[in-house]
Amino acid sequence: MERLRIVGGRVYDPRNGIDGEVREICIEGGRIVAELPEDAPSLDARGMVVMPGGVDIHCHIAGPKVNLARRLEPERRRGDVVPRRVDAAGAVLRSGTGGLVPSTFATGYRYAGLGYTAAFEAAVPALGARQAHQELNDTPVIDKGFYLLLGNDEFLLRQIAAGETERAREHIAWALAAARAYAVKVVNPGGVAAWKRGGSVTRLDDVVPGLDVAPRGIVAAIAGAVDELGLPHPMHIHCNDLGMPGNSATTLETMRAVDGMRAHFTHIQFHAYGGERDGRPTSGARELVEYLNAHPELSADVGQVMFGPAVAMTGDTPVGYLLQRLTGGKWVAEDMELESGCGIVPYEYREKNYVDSLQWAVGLEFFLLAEDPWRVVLSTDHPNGGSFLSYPRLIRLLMDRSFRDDEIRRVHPEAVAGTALADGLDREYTLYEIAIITRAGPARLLGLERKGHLGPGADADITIYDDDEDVERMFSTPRYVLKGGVRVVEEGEIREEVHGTTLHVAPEYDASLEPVLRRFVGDYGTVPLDDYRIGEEEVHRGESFVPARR
Amino acid sequence: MPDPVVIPSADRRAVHPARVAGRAASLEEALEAGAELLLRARLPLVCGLVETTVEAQRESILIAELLGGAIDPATSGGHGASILAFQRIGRLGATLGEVRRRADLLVFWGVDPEKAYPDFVDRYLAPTPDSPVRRCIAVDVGEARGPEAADDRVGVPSDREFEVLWALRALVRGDDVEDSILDGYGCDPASLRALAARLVDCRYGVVFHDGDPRAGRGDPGKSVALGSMVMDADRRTRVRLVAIRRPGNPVGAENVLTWQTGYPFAVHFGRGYPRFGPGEFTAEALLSRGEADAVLYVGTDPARDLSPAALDGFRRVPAVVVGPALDGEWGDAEVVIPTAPYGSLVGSIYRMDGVALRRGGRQPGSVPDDAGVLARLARLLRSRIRLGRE
Repeated sequence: MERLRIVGGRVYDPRNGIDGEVREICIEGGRIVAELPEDAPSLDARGMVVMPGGVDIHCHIAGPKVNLARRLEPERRRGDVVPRRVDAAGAVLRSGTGGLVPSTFATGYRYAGLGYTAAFEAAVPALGARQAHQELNDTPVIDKGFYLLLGNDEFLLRQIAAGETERAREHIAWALAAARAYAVKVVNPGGVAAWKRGGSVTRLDDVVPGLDVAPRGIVAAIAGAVDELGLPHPMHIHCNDLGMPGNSATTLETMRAVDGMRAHFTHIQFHAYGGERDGRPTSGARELVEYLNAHPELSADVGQVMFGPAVAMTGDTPVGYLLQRLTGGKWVAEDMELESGCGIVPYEYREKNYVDSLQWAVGLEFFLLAEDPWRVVLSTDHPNGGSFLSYPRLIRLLMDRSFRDDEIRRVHPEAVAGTALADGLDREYTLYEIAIITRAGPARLLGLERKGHLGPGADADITIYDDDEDVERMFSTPRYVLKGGVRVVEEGEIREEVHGTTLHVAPEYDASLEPVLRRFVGDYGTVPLDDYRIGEEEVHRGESFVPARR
Repeated sequence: MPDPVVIPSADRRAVHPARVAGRAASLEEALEAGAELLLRARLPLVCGLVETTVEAQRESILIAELLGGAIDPATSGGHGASILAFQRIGRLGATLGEVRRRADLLVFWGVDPEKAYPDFVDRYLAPTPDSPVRRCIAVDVGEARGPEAADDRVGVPSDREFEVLWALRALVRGDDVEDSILDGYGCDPASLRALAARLVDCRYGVVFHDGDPRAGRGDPGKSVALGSMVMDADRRTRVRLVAIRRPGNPVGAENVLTWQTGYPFAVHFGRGYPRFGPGEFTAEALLSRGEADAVLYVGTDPARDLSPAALDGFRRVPAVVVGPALDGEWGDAEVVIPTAPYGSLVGSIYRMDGVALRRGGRQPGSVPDDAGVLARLARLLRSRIRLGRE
């Protein structure tokens, strides 16, 4: 059994209440253990900061829309190449290209190089599950998984409309098991289905044409089913009306609609605007933060916007239409049968643009006003708000007030004026809090018992940073990254390749549903039901979790 | 109902043993000879890749990367134009199920899907309980005719296709185009105006086009015009563009290449990282210019997609051919490794609309799958190549 003792480092392990104490971390067989024999080899981490590996709760790294986005922009990847190399063990590190949407091998290497050891693709339609798994199989080093789109699933919406709560729940279980997905994603509940029918749903009680169901009923039914199925991660919801002035009212109403059940509100920044519908947006962050602060069953990731290039990439097709009207540039929209579709629009966030600056400021408001960092965690909705490679800069914005104040002076002044940033928020995140919002918090929200901490039994996924005054530099190039106890990264470069696992749930379901579903996809679709099912052999190094029903 | 992406079973020919320089050889001997041949080359080319699975396509890319060679799917000569147009303007698309359920207008732009997929309409366009009444318009572009059963027809001279598309763009945007201009294109003004009107008056229109025109016939300008016309019409209602791809798994080849390298065809690994060179690193270009000095061909018939000049280039260089139908002239290649026919391969393939399907259940004990052969070749090559810091 491989053993290693990390000695001399200052350890930040919030889940176990360890806040910068110098202590040893012992590793054996890929896991953290309480102690090791004296003669175990050691790694000198004196003067360094030791944290669990980062966990990205929401990003777009695999599946049909991601791959279309890769294909769309050769011009933004030509200058950003990842050459083939050979690692310390003689294995070939595959080449690739970067840009906003790196190729798969490059995605794995770059996440690991950033100190992240797990990342979750946030939006895969059932018919895209096979491709998502194929891409994740080719994404090295990190552990990964994806969330299955269900908020516009035709069969599910019909069951909810008919009051068939149990059948709705069994369908969710079936769909997760068939796709080998990790969690349930809801994107613009009912809104995409309505849009496909030529209608529009933006408020909680707008009825989807022809389906006799509204977002309020959809989110309540799905959140309830997720709780009853005992899934490790709550319903992961992208609310209705993304990006529109005044949408914070819809977001708040959605929070009320889940009514005491668990729910994770993703990229909440994009759903937090005040103002009149046809007017200029303002910040609506404060009331949403207050509601989050007061409701421990709810959580969010921020979806921070970072200035510079981005790619809007969403399962929310109508949003793609809105954005393309702004850019006038090339874009992709795809409709997919029975659930969802996608929109892809290359974008650039600019400091001199009012709306872009407002979005930037609203994101920071969430970070700086949230009382419980365990429930308001870091994301840029990569690559929607910016690349995951911009996380170190975001961390500096949170930790370094003078840097943040300098940045605030550069952005559109009217955008900042109506936000809490104008009040001179002086909060500076500590390393302990950064460890919460980038690893311990996301791992807890995902129900990953062995991740996001360094207690005995945890996976030995560990990031070791040089203790550097310049936190952007510190978080950009970890000194060491260990994955399952293997030293995979040194000085930000891959030293030895490993292959992480694909995490998915395998809930039990009522098999009597299958003939009904088979008939439904035969009547309305073109893909036989059996092709929705991902075989065990299709997931390389899969790790399944059988949830216990409540 | 047979899966339309499967090559019919007529392709199941007699199984040949592996051959090296025309003589029967064991699989091990053939792999050894193939590896030697590819390792000697300055610029090996990996091509074909259409009549095979995602699993074999993955191994093929690894081989090209290990060799520092180039890789290009057989369909790039025709479909490359659509991809370049995609990179210029993007695309509004849909899966076939959305077409089946929502379309009230189908426009067949110079393509009749039933020529390649005899059950296309029954399989993908049968009415759903809620689908609207549908109108079909065939646009005959020169010899490329739409379905004979269409409700209306429009004739477009093939040498004026671009101009007609550009005029149609204007019409769907509500701009006026004088009859004399349309007449000058050799196109009946009334039927073109009627087509434009239907494209904006429908609720959900779908334009099918030929995703794999004959090599060399693809034109990025025409593809941009077609895609732009669809986007213009979509401003007033909802219109989608769907490519009819040829049987096989060309979509898989483009997808795997894209996720592994960032680029869908014409990829060169000679500098240790992927470079994209449409018109430069395609099989057609590298073979016709005589730059490729060895070939690994995965598939059925190189002659199908290459120009005479490129075929000549192919015949001049040593080749390893891995595929099912090798009793023609390709049976004379330096190294021949027969594998199971496409229709019986186990693995994943992509439908023309980008949906990944799973094929499985072949009886064990017959000829090997190409993916397994290619994986062994990749391992052999890896053991022979010194890379980077070793």
